[in-house]
Amino acid sequence: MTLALTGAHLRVYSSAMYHTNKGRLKWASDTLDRDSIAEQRKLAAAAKEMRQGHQISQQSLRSNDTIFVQDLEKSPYISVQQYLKGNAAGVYVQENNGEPGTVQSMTIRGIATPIFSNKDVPAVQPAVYVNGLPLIANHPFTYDIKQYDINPLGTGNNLFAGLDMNNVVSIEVIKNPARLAQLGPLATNGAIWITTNDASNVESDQRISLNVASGIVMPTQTIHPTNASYEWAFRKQFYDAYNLPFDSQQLPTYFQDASDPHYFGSANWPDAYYGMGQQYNADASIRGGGHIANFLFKAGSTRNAGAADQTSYMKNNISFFVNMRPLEALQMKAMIYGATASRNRNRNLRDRYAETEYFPDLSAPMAPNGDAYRNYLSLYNETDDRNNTNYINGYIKLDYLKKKFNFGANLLFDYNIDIRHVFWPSTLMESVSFVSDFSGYNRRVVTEGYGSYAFDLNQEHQFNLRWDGAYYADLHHYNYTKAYDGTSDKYKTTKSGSYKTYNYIDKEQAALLTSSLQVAYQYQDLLTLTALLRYDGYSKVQSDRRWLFTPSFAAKWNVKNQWLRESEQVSDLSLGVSWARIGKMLGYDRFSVGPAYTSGNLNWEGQPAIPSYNLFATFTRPYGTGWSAYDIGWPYADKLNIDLNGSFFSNRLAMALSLYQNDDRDMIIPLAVPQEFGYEYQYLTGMDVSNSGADLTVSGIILAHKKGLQWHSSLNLNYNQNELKALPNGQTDLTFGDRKLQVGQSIDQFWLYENQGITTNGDAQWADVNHDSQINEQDKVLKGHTMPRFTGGLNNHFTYKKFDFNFQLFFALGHDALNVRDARRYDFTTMDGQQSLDALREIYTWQSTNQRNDYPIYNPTSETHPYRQDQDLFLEGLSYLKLRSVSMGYHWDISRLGKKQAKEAKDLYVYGVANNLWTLSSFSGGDPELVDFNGYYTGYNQYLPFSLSVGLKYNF
Amino acid sequence: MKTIHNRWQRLLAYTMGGFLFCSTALSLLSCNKVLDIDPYHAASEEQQWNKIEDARSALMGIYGLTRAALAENNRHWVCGDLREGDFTVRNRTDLKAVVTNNLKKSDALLQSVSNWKGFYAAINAAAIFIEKAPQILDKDRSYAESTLKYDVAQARALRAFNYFYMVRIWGDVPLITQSYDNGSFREFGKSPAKTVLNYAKGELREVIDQLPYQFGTTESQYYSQNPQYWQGMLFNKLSAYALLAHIAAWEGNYADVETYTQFILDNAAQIKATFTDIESLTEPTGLFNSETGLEIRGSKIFALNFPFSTRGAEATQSGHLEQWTLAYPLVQKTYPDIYVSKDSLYTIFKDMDDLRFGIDTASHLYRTNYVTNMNAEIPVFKKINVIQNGSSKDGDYAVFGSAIVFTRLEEISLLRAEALVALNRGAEAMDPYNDVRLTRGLGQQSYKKDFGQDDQKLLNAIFEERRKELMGEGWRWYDQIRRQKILQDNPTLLALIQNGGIYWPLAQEVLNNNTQLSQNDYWK
Repeated sequence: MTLALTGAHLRVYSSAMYHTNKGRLKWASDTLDRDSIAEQRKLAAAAKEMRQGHQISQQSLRSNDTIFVQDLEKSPYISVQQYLKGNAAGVYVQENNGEPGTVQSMTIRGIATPIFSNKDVPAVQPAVYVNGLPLIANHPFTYDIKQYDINPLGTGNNLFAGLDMNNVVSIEVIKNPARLAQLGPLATNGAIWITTNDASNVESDQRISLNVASGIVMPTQTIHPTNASYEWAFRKQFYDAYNLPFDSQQLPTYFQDASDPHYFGSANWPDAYYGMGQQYNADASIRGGGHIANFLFKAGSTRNAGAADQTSYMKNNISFFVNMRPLEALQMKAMIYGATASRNRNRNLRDRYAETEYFPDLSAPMAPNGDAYRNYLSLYNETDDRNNTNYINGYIKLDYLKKKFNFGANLLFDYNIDIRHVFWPSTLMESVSFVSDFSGYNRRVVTEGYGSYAFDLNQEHQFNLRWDGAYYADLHHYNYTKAYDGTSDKYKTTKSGSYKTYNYIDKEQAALLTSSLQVAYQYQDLLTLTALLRYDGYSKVQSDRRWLFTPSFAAKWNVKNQWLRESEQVSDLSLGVSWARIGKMLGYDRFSVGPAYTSGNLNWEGQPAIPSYNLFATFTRPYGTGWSAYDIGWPYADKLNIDLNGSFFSNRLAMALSLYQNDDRDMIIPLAVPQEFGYEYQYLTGMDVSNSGADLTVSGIILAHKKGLQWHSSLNLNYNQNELKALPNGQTDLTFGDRKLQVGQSIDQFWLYENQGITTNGDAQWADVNHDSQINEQDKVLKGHTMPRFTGGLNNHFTYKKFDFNFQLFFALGHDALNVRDARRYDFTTMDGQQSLDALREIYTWQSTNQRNDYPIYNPTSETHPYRQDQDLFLEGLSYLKLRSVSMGYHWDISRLGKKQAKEAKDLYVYGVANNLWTLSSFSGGDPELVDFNGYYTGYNQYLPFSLSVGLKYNF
Repeated sequence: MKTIHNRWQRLLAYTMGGFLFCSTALSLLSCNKVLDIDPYHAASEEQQWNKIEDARSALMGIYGLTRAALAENNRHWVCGDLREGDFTVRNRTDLKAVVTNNLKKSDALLQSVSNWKGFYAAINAAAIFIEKAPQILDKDRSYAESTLKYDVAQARALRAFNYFYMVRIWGDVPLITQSYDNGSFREFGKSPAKTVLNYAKGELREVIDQLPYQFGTTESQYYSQNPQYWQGMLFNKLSAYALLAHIAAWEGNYADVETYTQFILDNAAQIKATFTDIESLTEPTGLFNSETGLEIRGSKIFALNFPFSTRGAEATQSGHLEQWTLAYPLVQKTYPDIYVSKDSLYTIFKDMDDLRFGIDTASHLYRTNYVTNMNAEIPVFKKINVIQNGSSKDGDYAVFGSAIVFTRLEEISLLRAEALVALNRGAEAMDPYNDVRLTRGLGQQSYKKDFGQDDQKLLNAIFEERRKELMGEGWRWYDQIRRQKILQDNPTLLALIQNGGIYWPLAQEVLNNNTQLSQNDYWK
């Protein structure tokens, strides 16, 4: 929450859904809120003020969950997630990869469903709205035909990096139940409400603005490369400790020849792998028109780079906004946005084999020698790896406001196309070339209508009635071809070259019909009450249960106006409470028909889908995915929120405290069944998870010398804990591979053996929890958390005359990771012979940077599997504090220079910013953010690079 | 001006109001229709059982699931060939554990192999088919009653096959004879192996008359394909006899084995099954190829195929012995995971005239039908060697198109010999025994001269012959057990047979989800 920095925050959303304006009850209808235009203008003006080092108007310092982007825009952030990170109470963003443009996760007030692997992540993400347009997200159904969910099929681009973040005015995090209820089932996980410049809210005297920034990224730390003799010595210690023979029998082939310079020579691969990258941003906008009609045209280009493996992300975008007011009462707004994004991906073996699903011989890993590695990289000159996402979205909105009537209709659409073409030459994989083509799209069309009527009984009692209706049509579609072993590397597509090709087509479709009726009542300026009733129909729910009725209620009491009207110390004080029940969206459409028949069930562990037998298509029960029951209805969430908002000392100190409890109920979960019917799981409804906690935002103006130093500081903090309240059929626990859910416990815990050291003969010892003198699954306990208990951030903004200075800290506390990377490193006896992704050695595996070396030395011939990964030996705390950005800027008021244009505001702002500067953490693996979303640290993700940029903003 | 404005405003207001009203009314009327979206990738109960194609896709599904059960983690070979078998594991600790019977080692592969879910998926799919396919008769006239009869017979036979296969691995297993396709997921306890095998036998005997030698005729095609097309692909009458013979052999009921094997050998021509010469057996386009030529495909009495086709449809990297046995120079892999060591080869193949592994009289080099790379430290076992469709030139893109051949005529012939000896008809056993030997370049042996009419010796020789002939085909472990039951010369194995150690433990997942089950005694 950077609000105090800007001091410019104007839109206040508290528990009630509306605010009053000149005594008249006015809906905070976010799709079309005329007042907001004025507000946003003020916002922009205040932003400028701030830069110019002017006194921030005290009046505007208010506390809420809107992120003011002025300081963030300086950093080379490209995604919504990056903007939110550490900036709003209750939002936890994990950017677990420094490779630019990759998928990031954001969650609001915890998670309602467990994250066991990457495909579980989309289910806990909030909805993102741009000027009221709910953006469509990628659907995890593309994972279904793949064996590994390391990357989604296709480009794997972060869809929310495709927005034009430089055009954003504010980002609001909507957590309040009553407001979410107004948005409907799409927003049950919370909503990110982005407001952009749209011509109407830009200062009227500003015609053209230019932003240019350029910077570099570089690795954050020194790498300690290793070669095979290091690995040899590492392994030897295990055999020496138990007087075991250590010779070629115990060693993989690449150790056999100690004179091999590739393995045993200089490990100078880092020079070829790590490197500096360049990045930039440039955008320009032009605005025209007057009161009746105006437009804004904006174009931009952005490049982000990673500090390893020559990864980068590139985006070009244009947008066009038109506002028209043909009549005083009628307003039309339209937007059209287009962007194209492309990504240079990493060259990890893991990512490549996960895509090809073909394993070559892994017994000889890549050598740590720089020249050998460069030779290998030169093979990549032949490759094609094109990853493009194209976006087009927009809307037309009509709003009619006459006296007490207000109605309108909106048509909104969002469409993005995801295209990937890969060609990997035969030289990269045992003379097997590989081609894959993915072409997918996500499409959402929304039609909305609303109407409201306000009536006042008298000055004291005011009412407003509002009806909303919307129809959402979603379609996700893809076409995927993979092909192997062409006759020659000159054929880079499947058109020729006799490739062995496999084709897949699939789509997911959904329709959501919503309607709601809202009644609001206001008594003087003291009390507001709201009730909202929803009736929603959803195609993914079985037909006899697809309609859901949900209510919500809210009340807000202005304590200041009640009792403290005269108080000087208390500028504002209010208390609000709201409760809502909202339906939840279902991930997959397959539940809508009950226990279905599907193709592609003939596969087995380690084998991707095979749809046919003897070349005949097959249809069977979905033994692999699971039985889905007939009575699957709507899951829903009950959300309760209590707000206390206050500001004191003429608004110099503002604070907001929210206590919340979210109960997500009747969720679908796969439950293990007796295995004697061929199914592993059946899908049942009845999982209840509760998330409860508190959000706190405190912001203040610490120093406010009119002509001297000003210091604004703001702190946001969230405490959250989740608990599994119930499982279907009254079951009390449920295991899912290496994870377990237990009623009464958190859903983000690890399930581990408790390591108790070592026996005399070098076997591992684990706690015999149930005292049956054997160690098995029953002795595993739930331990640690993948989600932090505390998250938050601290922003500080200083201005001195024309200078400003800003730094941002953020933190997450109380979560853990399982150091799988170390488990695999120590478990080499198991890993050696395996032909699996887990056993892969990448080029960057040849380093001893950031690793723990104090694990017990077990007997390498032990039958107890001493270095198994599911034990607390590898569990580590992840709490961290990071200095994320430091920036400094200087502002020139150019209009003063030339007297002719004195009336036109021209200004130039130059700045420098540094990112990812410093981390405080006890995690042995380095950056604690780089843990997979399920809490496993595998060491594959790239470091978030240190970056330096300089830029200027010029308005005239 | 003002009036125009007002009129405009009113018009607009009415239009928009009207639009809103209409859309509301419309949406209320058509809501449910808008929300009726059939999933693209799933068929509901109503959509599934309507057409002849539905029957075919469900039937092929049973085959495919059976194939998956055997292929998962190469279960067919893990259970049949690795345990106390002739293969040496080079590096993999999980496979070493199988060889040394350390089956409860904490390991992903062992856990997965000891979960019988895959077999029960095939069994459940068969039960569903048997219960639901008949309704297609009324809905689609092109689905003939005779086709339904064939289909149901195959479903029942495949179910019996899966039960037999499970009994060999786990001993007592739950016997579930209906689909319970209603989400009830009843817990079934174990039934004694005997009961399960009796059920399997009963089922096979009931359908054996309905199962044909050949599916369809050229005039009346089975699923629009000629009878030749189906040879070596489906479960035919002789597949059922072969399965019955093996159930009987597993039970030690050699009288039945004798009857059934006699029937198979007498009627082999009906399914175009013959003995296969060594080249046709071991060449990449030979018998083990899923798309083997017309001349020999009938010899696969029962096999589960993985056709590569031109589209590479079902050939896979895992699910084949080749995944572990093949290496350089056949594929781009330095060393195999498992191999038959030179010492073992020399011990097993004593007669150097053996065409399978012996010395070529002309070149004085080792024959490469079974094994290649004899001059390296680790030889490569290449008896089954079907890369892609068997005509891959350079051995890259190593997906394998070999079939899992459950039985072929040589195997039946040796089983017959075994039965005859067990029935004290050693002299008669010589014919089926010698038949196999002669096709492999070995000399005819005589009951008197070579064995001194000693049935024990002969039986030993028959099992040795099986060991050589069926190496890598998933028989070794079960052969050793049958042999031990008769000859009783290995106390360790005998003890294992008596205390249930020959069976696999149940996976933790199996035990966790069914309270009626407990771990097999030996593995408790």
